[in-house]
Amino acid sequence: MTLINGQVTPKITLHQGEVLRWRLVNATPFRTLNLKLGTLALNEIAVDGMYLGTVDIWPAGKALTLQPGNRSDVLVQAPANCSNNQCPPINLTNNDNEVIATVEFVAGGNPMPLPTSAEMAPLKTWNNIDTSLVYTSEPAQFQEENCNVQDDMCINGITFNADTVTKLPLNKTQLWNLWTLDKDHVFHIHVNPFQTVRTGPDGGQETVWMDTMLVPKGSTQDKPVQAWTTYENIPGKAVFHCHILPHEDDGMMHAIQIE
Amino acid sequence: MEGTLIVDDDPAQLPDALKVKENILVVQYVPIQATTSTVDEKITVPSIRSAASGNGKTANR
Ligand SMILES: [Cu+2]
Repeated sequence: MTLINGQVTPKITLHQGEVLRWRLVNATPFRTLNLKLGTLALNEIAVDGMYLGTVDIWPAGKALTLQPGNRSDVLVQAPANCSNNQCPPINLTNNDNEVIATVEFVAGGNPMPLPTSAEMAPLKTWNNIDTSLVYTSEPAQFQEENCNVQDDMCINGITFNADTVTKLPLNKTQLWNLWTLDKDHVFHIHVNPFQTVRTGPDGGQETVWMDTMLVPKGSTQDKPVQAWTTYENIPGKAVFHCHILPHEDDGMMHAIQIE
Repeated sequence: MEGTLIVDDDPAQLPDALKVKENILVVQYVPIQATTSTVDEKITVPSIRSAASGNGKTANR
């Protein structure tokens, strides 16, 4: 059963023509969310708390996907012209068949425009990294088996222990090469987000900043998922881990030291 | 760099089109089935507030 803010299929009310900002959080332990909002687009402006610097319009019928731990800020624009002041309610669905909220439209709204990509550009949280300037690269293989601790999970063969630490360079650009042995996992790193490439709503490749992303089944050492980070200003110890919580709890986590 | 991950919007910096009301929608999952006898499906989502009041925060990490 999927809940929103602890409630079963809550009802969300929008005034006609109004724009509402939703800060979506996938706080599930292990479920990928594929969200659609009936006849309306999800106008995405930020991922994992970082402004994209544009508006990514996920049209009605095209799901916005959030892995466990992902966040997404979307703008929802209620229809302005409803016959007899009545627009039919719509559903927020997951995986097409699961209604997780209902949205109703009431009269009396003050019609509002959506921001343009030009208006969002100055808000972009991080400038893109020049990926030709990679100083070091680190591999991370997510494993459910063949770990140094029997029956536990691990990264690069080592089940989490706080004393096995990978050192990362401060103020240099580092590339992560990420892959899995045989199942989907979700890379999540603390303190510093990363730049990566995703498939945008128009089907094209898009450079975005995230701190949580899928490392899919089928990725390999030769065909890894890639992420770039420049570690600025904050030396010290942190971790990265799989954001599928039963995996993290079973040791699919690794300590890093930025210095 | 830590802390800037969590958006802490300054309303003065936002374009007018982003000065809108917002919901934080935390999607959770529990491995049980709902029964209509134990839930009120007509509750309105709480915590609608104006971004103009500032300090809109995106979630945990
Ligand atoms: Cu995992």
